[in-house]
Amino acid sequence: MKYIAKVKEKTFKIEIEEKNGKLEVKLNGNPVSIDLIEVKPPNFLSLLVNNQSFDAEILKNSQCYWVSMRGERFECQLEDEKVSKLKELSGYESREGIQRELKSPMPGLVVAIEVKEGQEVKPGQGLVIVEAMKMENELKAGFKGKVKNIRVKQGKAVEKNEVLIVFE
Amino acid sequence: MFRKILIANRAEIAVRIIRACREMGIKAVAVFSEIDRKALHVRLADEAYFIGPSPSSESYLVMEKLIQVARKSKAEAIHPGYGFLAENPKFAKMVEDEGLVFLGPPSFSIELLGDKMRARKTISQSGVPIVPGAEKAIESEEEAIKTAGKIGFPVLLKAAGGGGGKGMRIVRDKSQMKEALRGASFEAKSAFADERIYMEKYLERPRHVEIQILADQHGNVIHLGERECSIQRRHQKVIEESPSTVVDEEMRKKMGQAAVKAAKVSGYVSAGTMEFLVDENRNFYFLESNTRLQVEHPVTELVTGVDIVKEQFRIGAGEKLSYKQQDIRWKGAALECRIYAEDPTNNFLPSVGKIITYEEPSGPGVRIDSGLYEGCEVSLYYDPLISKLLTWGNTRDEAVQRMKRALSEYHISGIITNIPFHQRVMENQRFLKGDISTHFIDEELEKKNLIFDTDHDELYEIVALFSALTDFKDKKKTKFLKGKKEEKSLWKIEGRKAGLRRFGY
Repeated sequence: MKYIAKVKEKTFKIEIEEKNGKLEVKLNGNPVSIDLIEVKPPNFLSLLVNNQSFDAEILKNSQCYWVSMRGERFECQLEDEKVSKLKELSGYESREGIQRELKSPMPGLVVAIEVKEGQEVKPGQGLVIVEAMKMENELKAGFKGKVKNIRVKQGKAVEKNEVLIVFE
Repeated sequence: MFRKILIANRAEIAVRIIRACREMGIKAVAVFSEIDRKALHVRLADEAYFIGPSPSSESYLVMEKLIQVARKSKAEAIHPGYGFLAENPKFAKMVEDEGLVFLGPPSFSIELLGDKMRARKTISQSGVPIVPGAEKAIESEEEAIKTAGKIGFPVLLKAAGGGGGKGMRIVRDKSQMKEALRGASFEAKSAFADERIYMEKYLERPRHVEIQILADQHGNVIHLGERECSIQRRHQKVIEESPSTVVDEEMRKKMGQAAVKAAKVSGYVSAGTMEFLVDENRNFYFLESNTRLQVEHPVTELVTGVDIVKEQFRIGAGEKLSYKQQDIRWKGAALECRIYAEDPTNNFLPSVGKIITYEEPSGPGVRIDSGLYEGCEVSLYYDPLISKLLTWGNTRDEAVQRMKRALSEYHISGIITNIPFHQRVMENQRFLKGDISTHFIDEELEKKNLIFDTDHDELYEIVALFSALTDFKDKKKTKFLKGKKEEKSLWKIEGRKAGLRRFGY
């Protein structure tokens, strides 16, 4: 399989093939020796890359992989090369045109709503204050937009990932 | 000594206290709310009693229930830990009236020191320097402006009955006074049911340095030196250390004596902390007392070797302190990183969930106080402080290097923690030089430091490899890894050869 992996501003081409039970891996076209074991299933792994040792836990969410290693957490966008090419050909631009929403990152209580429907918001502007773990947490706008619909009221208990605000 | 102690708290601090009980042959009684049935403190205790629904207002904060458990379990003393009821004079009084020992100061002492204005007055009368300010509650805007003129702008308005940043306002000139007074007293009233506001000189770049004291019931008071607690965010401490980079032997002696004086004049008994602000010229001023065992007490334990919790037990049982001042020696340097369940890359929002993987660092000079284990739940009902990672070294530099090493070994998944944030602080040049104040985190965040890591691009290709290999592995999983049904899998044969489940060479 061929992958395109993006970490921050860097892009890597990775080819993985299985031959006679062994993994053959190329990184940006160069073969690397790989020894991968599961320390703790499913995804706490130990990896030897050309005998250099790395320990990491990998978690997948809908859009990316989270790699935790050496007390750090990294985000990686991974795409199958074929899918990537198809997208390019079809002119698909990722994440544009999708309805934009503000979701609650944790369960909690809505303490205040700082915007009104129809209001324009700027990145970094406070939208909703949710109380959890005895602390008030201000959820801020991550992008420029216009508030279309506010789905919650002050005093309402919300679940994790519950949609609070929908943007135009 | 006591035979049985009730611990009116939960999580890491309850675990810490249970450990002291066990080492002294004392039976430990735990309490738990609905969600805490499988919490570590319940599993480690000798006895455990259910005290109600998960919200602390219906469990850990209900005084009557705790007293009932004490009666039922025949505990002789109650340790309140920190937070919850630890600094509630009413609870201390209830425990005293029940004929039990409250493992903390007497209720009158909590009451005196809990009232910030009374504490300032009492302690300044004993000759301990306090932050310049007004001695009584502010009654009008005119009076406030007059007083501010005397002590000099900027000034700080503070709630007499409170703490934690609520009811606090910085006033830089007289035009801001009216609005600040209104806001502060409104907040103070709603948070502490006490609208009294007093005024202090606002120090621009202070350090927060506190002195640990121990006082027995026979009038002996000693100090265990200082803890530097300037690394804070939203008035919450994040990293503490001892010794402080600004405190030398002479200053330690002076601050220690001041703290001992403050304890004596307020009739203090048990372990406690006197907090001071230190200005840029190394002048120190009494700020307030914490009449409880502090979160960061292990920092002092590492540099002095004194077990503060056991000392609290001895004091509570009426014994004399096991140390005299001249017995206290400080060795090396200790650091504490508070591990919070929060996401530093997303505005420090709390993160809750079930712990999937949990691996603690160990090795030389490492101590962890936590209530975590694989499979346990971090819920939104309680404090986001989930663990305390401490390191000790012969020098500050060694302690810092150990902390970096320990942080890199600390693996927690299922929730997001601030471990990477601590890594950034340990690499921060200002922190390494000891150039810090209580504004350190805000100032560094402003400069886009501490959160965004730029130094690790050499790891990016490894991150990419891990992600691609995980995807590949997951897609082929049924084929290779569920070996039971596929006895002839080459992977399995290879794995057996190597004695491990291997994935290529």
